[in-house]
Parts: sequence; structure tokens; C-alpha cells
Amino acid sequence: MFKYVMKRLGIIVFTLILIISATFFLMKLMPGSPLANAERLSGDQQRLIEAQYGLDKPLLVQYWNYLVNALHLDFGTSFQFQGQPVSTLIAQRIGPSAQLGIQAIVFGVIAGIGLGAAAAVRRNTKTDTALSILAVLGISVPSFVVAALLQYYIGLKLDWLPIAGWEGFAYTILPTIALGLQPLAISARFIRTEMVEVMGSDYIELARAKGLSRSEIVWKHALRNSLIPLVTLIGPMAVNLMTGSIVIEQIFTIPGIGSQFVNSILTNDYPVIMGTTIVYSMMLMVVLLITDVVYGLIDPRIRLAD
Amino acid sequence: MKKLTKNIALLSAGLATAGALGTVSADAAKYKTIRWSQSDILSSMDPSKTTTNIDFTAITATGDGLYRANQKGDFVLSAADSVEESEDGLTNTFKLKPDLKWSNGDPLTAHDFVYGWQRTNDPKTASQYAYLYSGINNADAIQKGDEKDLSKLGVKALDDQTLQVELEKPMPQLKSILANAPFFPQNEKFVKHAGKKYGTAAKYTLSSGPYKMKKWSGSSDTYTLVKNKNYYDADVVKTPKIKMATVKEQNTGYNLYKSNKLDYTTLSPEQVKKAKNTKAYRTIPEATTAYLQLNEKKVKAFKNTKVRQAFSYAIDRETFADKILTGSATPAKTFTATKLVKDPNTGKDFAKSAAVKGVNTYNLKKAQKLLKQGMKEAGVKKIKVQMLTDDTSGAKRSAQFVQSQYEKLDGVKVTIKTVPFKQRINLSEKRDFDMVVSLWGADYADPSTFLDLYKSDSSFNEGGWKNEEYDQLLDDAANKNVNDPKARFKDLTKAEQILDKEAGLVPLYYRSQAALQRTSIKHMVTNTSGASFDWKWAYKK
Amino acid sequence: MAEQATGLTAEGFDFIPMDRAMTAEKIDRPALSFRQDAWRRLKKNKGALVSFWILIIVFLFAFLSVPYANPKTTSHQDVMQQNLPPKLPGNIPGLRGETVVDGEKIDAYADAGLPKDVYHPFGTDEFGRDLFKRVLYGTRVSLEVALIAALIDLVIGITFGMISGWMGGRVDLVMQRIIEIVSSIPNLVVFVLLILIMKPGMFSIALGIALTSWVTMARLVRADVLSAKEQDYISAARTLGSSSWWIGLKHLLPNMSSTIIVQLMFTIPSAIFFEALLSYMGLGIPVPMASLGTLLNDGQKVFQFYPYQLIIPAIVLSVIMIAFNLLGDGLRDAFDPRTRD
Repeated sequence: MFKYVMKRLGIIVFTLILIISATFFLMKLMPGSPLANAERLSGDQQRLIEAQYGLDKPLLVQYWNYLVNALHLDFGTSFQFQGQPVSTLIAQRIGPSAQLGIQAIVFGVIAGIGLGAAAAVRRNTKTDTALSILAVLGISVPSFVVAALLQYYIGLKLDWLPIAGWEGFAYTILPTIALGLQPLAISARFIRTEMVEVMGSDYIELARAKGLSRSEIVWKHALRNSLIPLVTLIGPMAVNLMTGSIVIEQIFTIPGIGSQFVNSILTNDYPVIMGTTIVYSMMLMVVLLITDVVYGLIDPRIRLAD
Repeated sequence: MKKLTKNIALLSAGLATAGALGTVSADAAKYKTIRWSQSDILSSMDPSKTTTNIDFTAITATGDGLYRANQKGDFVLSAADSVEESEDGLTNTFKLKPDLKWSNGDPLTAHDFVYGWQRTNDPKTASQYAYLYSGINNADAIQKGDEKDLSKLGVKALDDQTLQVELEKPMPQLKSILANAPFFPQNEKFVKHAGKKYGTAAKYTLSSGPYKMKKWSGSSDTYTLVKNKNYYDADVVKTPKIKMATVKEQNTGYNLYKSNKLDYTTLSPEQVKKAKNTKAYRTIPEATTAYLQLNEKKVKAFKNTKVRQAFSYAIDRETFADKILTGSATPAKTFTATKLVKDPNTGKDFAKSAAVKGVNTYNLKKAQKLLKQGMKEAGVKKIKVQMLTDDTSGAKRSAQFVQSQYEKLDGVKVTIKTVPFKQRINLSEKRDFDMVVSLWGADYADPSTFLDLYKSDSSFNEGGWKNEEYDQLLDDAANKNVNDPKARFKDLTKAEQILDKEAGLVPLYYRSQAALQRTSIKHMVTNTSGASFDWKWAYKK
Repeated sequence: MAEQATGLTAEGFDFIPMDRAMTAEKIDRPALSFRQDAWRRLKKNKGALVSFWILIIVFLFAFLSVPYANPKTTSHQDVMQQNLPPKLPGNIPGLRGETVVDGEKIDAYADAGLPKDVYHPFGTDEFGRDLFKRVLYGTRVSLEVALIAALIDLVIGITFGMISGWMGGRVDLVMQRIIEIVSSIPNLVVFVLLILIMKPGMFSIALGIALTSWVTMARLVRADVLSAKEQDYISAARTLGSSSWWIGLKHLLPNMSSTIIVQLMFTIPSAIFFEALLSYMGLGIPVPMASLGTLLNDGQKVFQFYPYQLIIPAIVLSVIMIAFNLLGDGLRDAFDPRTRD
């Protein structure tokens, strides 16, 4: 196990280097200067600014410096936020995004398990169809539509929950629901398929033959065994959440990393774009690694190759 | 889950009254917290390094210049008590108000102005607004690096309370620019102590204005302004606290306003249609003009005056402003925006008195006729051009309407290219476009802030239109007639009219901001150049 | 008892034909090819079947409406007819072109001073453009983007997966690492970087989507190739001296078709969905073109005032998404011999 994790960490570092290199050179291709009023700056001022950001050095030197610094989590200083290190900017904003992401996964997975299990138990009935459609709805209406509707009806019309902002748990509920619909749909469908398969397997037949009650079979045997592979879905879910959070953060005015990313694109703030990209990838790879390790730990059938 | 927030709100309100029993000052009870919203995030509180309008507003709330725009929009002395102007208009001697203080209690002296100004002009600071200093002695030379000695800048502290400003040439816009953030004093000790972090978070800011900055991490979406007791004019400042939120989605802002969580929100055209009959509705002029630049270097036909005129006559600006951009635009007949400055010759708004009748209006027949003649003269059969614009929803809206207007012209085919703001700027700079929708906001209250852009040697003249008479008139306005406002405005009026008649560019609309602002807020000041809002006198009952 | 047994006569017996072994083992189901079998099972799945026909109808509407809903007609503006609610001939509730102003129902069409015979079944947008045409056109554009993306996805995914699975060894190892790397970059980030450099448009959006989604296809194809490689018919083909390319094309590809088809049923809707999300960020299909995503995004901005501008494209999108998903599920079950009933 230890060897496996070390090997995976090695791959992560290697991948990071590739990603850093790719984003670095892509940024160099991007049109547009990050400076405001660039036309009104004298040649000297422009040169000084470039020197401040290390842009006066040869490309390869710039690249090497960036790579070395980036591996130490130093992504330079923002163009837009004068004098602010990118790592500080990201650190200040990662909290709300992470909290929202975790809440959305927890909510989505739990609700999804419930829906999926209910559908599987009543397989091929109207309830099953209704639940399936409900689950698919979660991935057929874009989150920005769901978010806007929730905000308007639950926030404004019914006045049950705050419309927008980030000042306490109540403020996180609507965004969590909007963001959690996709994990909900994914896990509900997954659990249903798995459980239908498990319910038809021999050991469930055996349990039935032993005279175990229906609920006992469903909860103790079928569901439990269906849950294990669900862990593998957390990775792809995390990817979707990162995308979704950009929209949700904007609509609910959440001070997270997603809205920052959009902002940095609009203002050509290269250091922030690069920093965010790298942090996003890093988080994703760590999540993938953790899910693989957890999966190996809880499912004895899987043995992680050393 | 029901009524969750309400309960929480009630609970905290109960706690607050219990805890603060008897300690609430009369002021705080009388004047409520103002809850404002901004459409983008605050990026810097360093007066030398600021780059956006949003920054200007926050810095103006926490700072004070020699002048400040008052509630009528006139620039009146603020930190300065009096000013003496030399006969040639090149030397201004300001006497500061006595006992000015920084928010930390330090005395605020003329040296703080000198330091702030020198810091902004120092090429090492790389201030992106230093160009506003152009005209002040040696400012250009210092910024270019030709003059290394910062003390040669035309500003001197004769004593702690006297500031002398020397100019290379008369600057009609002087009062207006002195009220802007890059001309505010800076506390040398504080700035040096904060070092690189100066202006990057609330604790690295020092106030010389009506409010102090609180709860701002440098990248947070919200910040709070609280009254600065050390401000010389603190007696007039009534509001104890202003809370700012960044709201990028207009639907969110509208919902927050309706549920009484915000006191101010900007409106989209559809929201305007619903809200314009309410008392809280207002439009805030911005002295910003949206205009089309026609690239004469890239599209041969645009060299022809008739073709350019046709492109102006083809646009129904009334419908554009009323139906499409509802609330956020008025039809533009001139390049210089309205509500910027009054013409001393007529006493009327410059843009209105300079507008030429029948120019920059909608006349499809005339457009078609001119286009036909123009294309013949230019020897082209078809004009196929790409219109460059921003990728915001507002810009897309405008572009689609303009495109549909040109669809009606025979022989013209317009396609749209949308790019992020900074890319549009960059492509415009490189003259890499056929036609571009540009916006220009006034730097100061004078027509030259617009008209100078289209001098033939100006780097902002991206269309490439040239007219010798135009250049000459602007040259006269800047030099020969600079001390004679009437003659100067005659030159400027004539220049504006030449630009409009020749269709050197195609003005589309003057931008304004449609908004809902709670009627309980009084004495809010809005400016068309520099800081958009000033809360110095504002209060909410 | 014995007498009774002898009651059997010669007439009671039949001649057994020569091929009796066949009859003995005769399966009571008709002999079906794999595809026929799958189709038969698909037909039993009502949800999937309905979805199948819905999709056929959507495609027909979207692609046959070109003369009616094309870039020219859908970008035609008439500001007089701004934001009109849906109206159809006949007095159908909800489609009378009525709007509520200050608690009173008024005829928005009459209010705009339009003649009686003006109808917009889905209403109009802020420019007075007919939304029925725009939804048809937008659906077509969305489907086109998704199909192009699926095609690119298919080509890259299959090629990559087949080479990786077939070659095995070091090649496979390296190619697996590449897949790992690609899938650990957030797709939105890749997409945004790509779109910022390329010219915005239908193809670049489709390419962006495909570049971020081919990994799943490659993985599935590789797994299929790995299991097929061990099977006798492949070894037989090899022994007979067929080239790798020939085996890949002639034997492997047809056998993987079910995996590929099922995967496509999920790629297409997710591409449509992703495009919608990009529209929200202003990175979707450029104006004045429309896609379901841009229509939804425009609708979302005004839904408090003109709810139909959001609801209609939302329903169309949801129906397409649900249909693809149910059909995909149905196909997967149908292709999977284990679920044979």
C-alpha cells in the first residue's frame, strides 16, 4: 500500500510538471496585455512593470523560474490585485469553495443513495420510472437554471432561506442543493443499477432462503454491497463540482475560487489563471488518489497493485 | 427549515439590543447602515496603483484631495483651505486646512501630498494612472525616466501647510483631476512600513477621508466603511457604516434589493421596464460614450467619408436606447458625452450645444444613397466586415442590434466577433479589426478628454481618421486659447462638429447606469468622472 | 395394466427424421442475430422505446426545419414585437398571448399594436425574434455541436483505446499514464484555455468538449480490446496471418459496437449540457447564432418577467437529455446478455 501511494504521488508530481508547462506556454500564446491603460504607459514604465513580474527574462528562464516556484506553491503576484501573491488570493478563497463542494457531495450522495435504493427495490414499477426521471432531471437542467429558480422561489418568494451571500450555514443551503443535484443524479442511477444486480445474485437468494426479512436483505446485504463501488464515483463528481461551482458562486455571490477564476480570465490575469488551474488539478488528483486508496481499504476484493 | 433566516435574524437582533443597551449613540440610532453593491471586486486601495473605477470609489471614500466634487457636482476645495493662482496660471499655491489628521492620528501635512505625488510619478511604482499628471512640471520626463530626480516634480511643500504646484502649461482640467484618487496624499511612514503590502488589505490602508476601510482581505467580495472620526469634516458625515457587496448577477442584485438586503442595485433592461415607474428608480449618467471605430487601414471603403456617414445614418439610435438598452443608454449625437461639462458660451451642456442637427441621426434612405455613392467612389462592390466587441451579455446585445441595422443596407454584410474585454483592447491597439465597438469614459470634466483621442497622432485613434483642421483646433484649445475659456470652447465645439459631420467615428449612445436606490437614502453624490459614488454626505434614515 | 400398454399401435408412432439431434436441442426462441436480439429487448423497455421515438422526432424537427428556421430568419429583428408571450390560433388557455400587468390580464399582441393574425407559438425575445424558430434552430446547433464532439471523441477515443489495448506492454503503460494525466486536468480549465486561443465558434466548442471527454471512450475500448484479445477467434485470425489493422477493423470494432453506441448515448447529451454551461460564462455559441444553452442563458436573465423564455428551452433540453439517458440505459441493458430475460 505504502509503495502504491508513493508511486501515485510520483505520478502526481510528474503530471503537475506537465500541467504547469502546458499552462505556462498556453498563457504565452494568449493575446492581450494584462495592463490597464497600457497605451498610456511610457516605454520605461512598461519595461519596469515587466521586470517586476520577471517578464523581461528569456522565455526559458521565465519558464524554469515559474516551474520551480510553482512546485513550492508560489505562483507569483497577481496583475489585477496589485501586490497580492496569487497563493494568498487562492488560499483566501478556497475555503468557501471546498466547504460547498463537500456539502454538495455529502448531500447529493446521501439523497442519491436513498432515491436509487428506493427505485431498485421497486424495480420496474411506476415508482421506479418516476424516481429515475427525477434523478435524470438533476443532470438535464443546467445548474444555473436550477440556482436561479431556487433563489427566486425559495429565497425571494417564500423567504425561507437567504437569497445570496456567505454569512453562515443558512446561506449555504440553496447553493448546496443547486450544486448537489448532479452528484445526486449520478449516485442514484449508479446505486439503482448496482442494487438490481446485487439483488439478483446468489448470496441474496441464500439470504432470502434463510428467511431473512425483506428490509434486512435490502439494508444489510444489498445496499451495503452496492455502496462500495460508489466510492469510485467521487472523483468524477469532484470534476463536475469544480465546473458547477463557478456558476453557483456567481449566482449566490459566494467568495470562492470559481468566481475568481472567471474574473481572472476576463482581466487576463495570467498568474491567477495559471495558479488556479494548477490548484484545481492538484485537488482533483489528490481526490482521485484518496478515493482509490479508500476503495482498496474497504473492498477486500481489490488489491492495489504495488 | 421554514423561516430559518428570519429566526436567525430575530435572534441576532435580540442579542445586539441586549448587549448594547444604553451604549447606542444617538447618531447610530438615527442613521442606518447603508448597504451598497458593486458589480466587480475591489482590486487595490493604493492610490498610486489603482486601475479601476471601483477602486476609485473606495479610495475616494477613504481619502480626500485638494478638491472634492460637492453635491452639485462642482469641484470645491476640500483638504485645501484656499488657493492662489499666479497670473500666467502656471503656479498654484494651496493652503491646507489647519489640523488635518490621518485616521491613525498622525498630522496630515503638505509633505504627504508631495510624497504621494512623487510616488505615483516614480517609474518604479509603475502607476497606470500617472498619465493624468501630464502637464505638471516634469511629470512626463520623470515617468519616462529622462528625469531621475523625483524632487524636480512640480510640487513642493513650502511649509507643513502650504503646497505649491507648478505646471508646464495651463491645465483647464486641473480642479477636476485633483479630486481624483491618484492625487490624494499618502503617509510616507505608513506606506514605507507597509511596503509592498500597502493598499492590499484593510489593515494596510490609512484614511484621510470621511470613512475608514474595514473587513477587506484584499480579495474579499465584501468590505465595510466606517466613519473616520479624525476627518476634518467629520461633523457632516452622518452614516456610521457602509457595507459593500459584490454582486455580478443582476438577478441576484434585484432579488436582494426586493427582499430588503441591499439599498442599491443596478438593473438590466428587462428589470428597468418593470421598475422604471417606482420612486426608487434612477439613472446615473456616466460621461461614457459607446462608439464604433471604422478601421480605415484595413477596410478600404471606410476611407470614404460617404461610406462612413452611411454607417452612421443607418443606426436607429432612438430604438437602440429605448427598446434594447432600456435605461442604460441615451442616443449619442456627439463623441463627447453629455453631463460632462457646460459650454461657457451657451451655458448649456457641451454635448448638446455642439451637436449638429441632422448628423448622427437615423435616416435609412440617406444612408442607402450615401453608401451607393461612396462605394462607387471607393470602387468597391461589397463591404464585408467583422464587428469586434466584448463577450459580456450587454455587449452582445448591442452588437446584435447594430448588426441587424446594417443588414438593411444593400451590399453590406456584418459579422460579429466577441472576445474578453482585455483581448478587445489589445486587438484594437494592434489595429487588428474591421470595426470595433469601443467605450470611452471621461478622465476629467473637459471635452478634450474625448476629443484628444481622435487627433491624428493619438494612439487611441484606432480607426485612423485624419483631419488637419481638427488637429489644429485641438492644438489651439490646448495652447493658444488655453487661458480663454470662451475661445477655447469655440475651438472644441468646432472640432466636435467636424468629427461628427465627417463621421470620423460613429457615436452610438451615452452610457448611464439604471439602478434602484432606496428612497430613504439622501444626499448621495454620483460623479461622471473619477469615483462613481461619494457617500460623504449620504445617510439613510 | 399390461393390456393397456399394448394398446399402442403402429399408427401411434411417427418416423423420426434423420436430423433429430437438431429438434431435440431446438431452442424455443427464434434464432436471432445479436442485433435483432438487442432490438427485441430494447422494444420491451418502454422508457427506452419512447425515448428512441422522441429523439427521432427531435432530430427530424431540428434538421428538416432548415428552410424555416435558418440563420437568416432566426436573426430577423422586429423591435415592435419585443418579448411577446406565446400565442397560437384558437383560444387555448396559456397560448392566448396574454400578459399580466398590474394584476390585470391584457393581450400583449394588441398592446403592441399588432394585427390579429400575428402568432408566435413560443413567443418572442428581447429583439422581437420568433422563439419558435430560434428554439428549432438552437436545438439543431446544439445537436450539431454534440454530434461533432461525439465524432471527434469517437475517433480519438477508439484509436487511442485500440492501440493501447492491442499493443500492450510499454506502449500501453505510457498511454495509460497519458489517460491518467488528461483525466486529472479539470475539463473546464482545458476548455477555457483552448477557447481563449482559438476562434470562438461551433467547431472549436465541439473540439474543446471532445478533447476533454475522449478519455472515457478510450478506457472502455481498451478494456474491450484486452478481453477480446484473449479470445479464440482473434487468435485464430492471427494464426491465419491477418494483419493487426485487419483484425482491428474486421473483428474488434464490430464486437465493440455495443460499448461504443452506449457510450455515445452518454457523450452526446453531456456535450449538449456542457455547451449550455459554457453559454452561461459567455463562452458558448457566438451571437447571433443560438443554441439551447444560449437560449437558456438569455431566458434565465428574464425569467422573472417572461418565464416562457426560460421554460420552453428548458423543457426541450430536459426532454432531449432524459431521452438520451433512458435510451442509453435501455441499450446498455439490451446489449448486456446477463440481463436477458
